[in-house]
Amino acid sequence: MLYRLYDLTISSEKLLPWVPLSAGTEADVRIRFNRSPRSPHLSPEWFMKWELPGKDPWLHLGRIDGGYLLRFADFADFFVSSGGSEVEFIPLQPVPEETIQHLLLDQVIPLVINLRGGEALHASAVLAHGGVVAFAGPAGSGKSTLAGSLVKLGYPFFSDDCLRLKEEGGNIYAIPAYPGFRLWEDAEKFLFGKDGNPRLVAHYTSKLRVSVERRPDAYCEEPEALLRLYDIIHSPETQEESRIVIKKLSPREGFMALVRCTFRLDITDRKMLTRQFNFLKEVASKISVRQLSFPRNFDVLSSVCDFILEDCGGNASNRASNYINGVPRSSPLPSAGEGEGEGGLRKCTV
Amino acid sequence: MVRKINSQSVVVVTKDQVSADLSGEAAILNLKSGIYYGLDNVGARIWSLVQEPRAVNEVRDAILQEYDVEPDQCETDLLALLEELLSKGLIEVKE
Repeated sequence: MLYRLYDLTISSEKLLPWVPLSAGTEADVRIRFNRSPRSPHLSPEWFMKWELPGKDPWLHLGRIDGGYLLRFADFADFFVSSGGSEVEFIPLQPVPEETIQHLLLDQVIPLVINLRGGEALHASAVLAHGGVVAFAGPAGSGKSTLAGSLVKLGYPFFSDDCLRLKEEGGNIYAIPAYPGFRLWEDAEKFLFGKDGNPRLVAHYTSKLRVSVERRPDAYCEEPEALLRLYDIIHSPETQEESRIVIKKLSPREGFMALVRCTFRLDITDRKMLTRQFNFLKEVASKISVRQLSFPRNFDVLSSVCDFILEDCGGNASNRASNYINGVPRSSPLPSAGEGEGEGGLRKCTV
Repeated sequence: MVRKINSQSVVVVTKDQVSADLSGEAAILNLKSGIYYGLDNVGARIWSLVQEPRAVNEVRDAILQEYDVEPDQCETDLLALLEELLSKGLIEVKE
């Protein structure tokens, strides 16, 4: 089967139920699935590893004859050929289908995009006010929940956790992914209740995958200009935050925020690093990056959405809640004009 | 700390980096380590001056002309920044 994922045509022996079919005839990336589990006999030259918060290994990246090996914990390998045109799944032990699909779509393909000369951000996005509004930030900062909140308000979903970017004609465009996103159970229940029809993302997490394709116009299928990137700050300090704060970042600060959320496979590849540096410089010069912090409370989400929508240049949603934490708001949200507030710092007290 | 740079030193950016001017500020990537750095406006101006081999006192004089700062303070801050850039592998001292 041929699928369209970002700007890639992908051939896969297995069904990828969340991914739109492609009208193309030639695959950019061929995916093969090794059926039988086997013990790791390959000897890659490991050059990068990511650990889970408890220090357990999560992802190792290594060089191997003909390409790269991506090892997820102790259960799955993906071989990616040097040019990023071949991907092979190699189970190290029996792996459920949903886990294979998740690793492939959400972890491996973003790195393949980078290997093939493209750039992608670890960000979730919706379409609002004529452009793509994206949310970046560390794991658990609320990227998908915020995107989901805007989808609930009627703004078309664009992508979850991976935002493919491209420069064309001097503008920065985002390319949509596939109509599904991943939420923790409490966020999924809060946002979609019984409408979500969620399924488990993978065997090692309780996150749920929610489809948006059943809702009319709920999913954006064409590339759109990138309008804004919000870098969500999430730390023990901001966890206690009682305000919604949007701070306009300087191009340098915005660049650094972009650096933090960009996918890169081989960090020793100077050609790739230089290419990506120049690309991010263009993005930082053309796109306004904001820092966003907000109280960790579902009841505040609609107010956060209103504030973001105002900041993006449109009017606040008619559906704006007059309540935050159950307390009526005594005054409207501050105006979101450029340059307001001290030093570009814009605050909304709740 | 033993200073490796003095006011007579000639310094220049290394070849192991790429940098960008971002509205008067600067971003730098050390290609050897893969680490990114940012410089504010004054740091970015110094960075632009050392794109070619230049004596530290020459850089100091240029900054003194452009910014309202005491000469001693300027030299102290300049040397501290250059030492840091040197330690990060972003500039080198020419013999």
